[in-house]
Amino acid sequence: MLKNPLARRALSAALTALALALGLNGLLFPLSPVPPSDYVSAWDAKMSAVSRRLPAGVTQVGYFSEADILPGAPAPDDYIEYYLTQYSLAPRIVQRGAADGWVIVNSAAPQTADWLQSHLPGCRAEKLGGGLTLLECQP
Amino acid sequence: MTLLLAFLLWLPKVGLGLTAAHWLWQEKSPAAGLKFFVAIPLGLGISSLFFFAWLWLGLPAKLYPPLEALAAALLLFFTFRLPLSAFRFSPFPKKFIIHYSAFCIALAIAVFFFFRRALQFSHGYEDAWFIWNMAARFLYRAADWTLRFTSQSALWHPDYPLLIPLNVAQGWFALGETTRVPLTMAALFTFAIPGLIFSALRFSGQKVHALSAASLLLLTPAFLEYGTQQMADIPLAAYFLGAAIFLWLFAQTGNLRLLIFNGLLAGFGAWTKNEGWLFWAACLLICIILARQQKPPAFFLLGSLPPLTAALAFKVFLAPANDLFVENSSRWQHLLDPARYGQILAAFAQQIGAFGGWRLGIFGVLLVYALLMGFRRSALRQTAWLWLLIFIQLAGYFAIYLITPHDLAWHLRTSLARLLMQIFPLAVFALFASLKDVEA
Repeated sequence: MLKNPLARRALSAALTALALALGLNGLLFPLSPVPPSDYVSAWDAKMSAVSRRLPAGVTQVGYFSEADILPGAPAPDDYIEYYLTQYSLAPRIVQRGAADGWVIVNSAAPQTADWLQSHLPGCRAEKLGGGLTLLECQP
Repeated sequence: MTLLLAFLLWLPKVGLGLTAAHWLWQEKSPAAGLKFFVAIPLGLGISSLFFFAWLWLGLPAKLYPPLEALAAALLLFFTFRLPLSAFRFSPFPKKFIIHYSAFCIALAIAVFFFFRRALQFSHGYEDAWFIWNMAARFLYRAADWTLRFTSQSALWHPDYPLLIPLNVAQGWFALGETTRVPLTMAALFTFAIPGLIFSALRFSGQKVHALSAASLLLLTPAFLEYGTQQMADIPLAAYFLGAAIFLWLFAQTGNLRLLIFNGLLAGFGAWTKNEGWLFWAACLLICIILARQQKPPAFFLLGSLPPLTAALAFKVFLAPANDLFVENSSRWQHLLDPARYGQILAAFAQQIGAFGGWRLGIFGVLLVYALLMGFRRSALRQTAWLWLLIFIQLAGYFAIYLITPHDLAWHLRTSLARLLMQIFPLAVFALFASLKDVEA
């Protein structure tokens, strides 16, 4: 333990200097990865096309994604995209699977059109770009 | 412009907090800094309670913010008719100019990095948007504010308490839906924490350690990062720290009114995040231990009453069951599995060793510093309560990991660093408060 007041003062100054150096380094070159872009704002913007088309009284929307259309294929962002969709469309409840009325299909896979034909026949589909299709199904 | 308006939005709440702090604790000059920084978490907590009651009564949400602003202005006017000199800070001695300059640089760096990152990711990161801002959107956008709790989508944690979403939604009712509202709230909580540490250590006469501890926190990248990410762990850390500071002050002075603060802030912790219940129980336990000498639990419970009433009403009448405590038949099996103990201990050791975002482990650096500076025996009698709080909280987290129904590796990977961040400011404060003063 240091007893000399000057040495103690120097020690506390050294701690602050070390914090400055290591802190600045950590802020400039973060140890944990930073997302390349603001994907939440981007998704919000993408979903605004869906929001505009949904009538005011709609409280529940169905949701299918590539994970449903290609169940064997890896889909690491699947759950994030589902939550992003829910975040964008709140207070409407976005339920995985089909719902009476309106269904969002989030898939850019080429097999999507065939899958829709076989699984959700009779729904009127509108492609909104960015892999989004909005279906209006009869109850 | 919206950013500035969003900052102004919080002024009435801070005013409410300042008034409450002043009513509860009549101490003047040296406590002014502490009162100001505690007014931030206190005011936002109080405001969320009033707004919760307002919504519960079915009153129009848009009317609340202007009424609150008016009430805060009146309260401030009638409470603070003191000469400004009563709140003047005493200047720092010139011999500590290096420390003071370093603190100013640290603050400038932290502010710059905070806003650079926060504006880049203005919705916050996962957790922020898919729990807290999502809840705020439901409160703000839905015709029926209880919709989020009655719907069947349990996956986005509808049981999490409402202090944060209520404040954000309230801001949106005043300004319209903008990401600047949760962003500025995150900034307030983030910078209130070093402010609390600084003012509390300064209040106890540790001027240099006040500067060092605040600088250290401002220069901890993980702390700033969680702040910019709008993680609720930072507001929770502010409540833990605030509650602990008042417990520590009580241990020094014996002023029972300080335990009302302790109860209020610990209660607001439970109203912020579920981990706050554990911390509240730990504070109560310490008050019961202290009760051998006086009557601390009654004062603590008096302070806890408003936030806990709201938190319990929410849990009983609105919130569905928590995902950790739903039917979990493997709980006993998990408790008897020694491999889980080892896995959790290893994760704790690994996270603590690499904590903070420095290239050198921050706790290692602090340990060396503490050993060279030396501990103050008289201070340890009071800070022992802080260390006990930290220990209970860590033990509680350990127990939750033991019984979690989720995959243990996933649960540890996605939450342990955040849980440690909740008590990191408190640990920094406890350490510096235990040390011998630089001038000793």
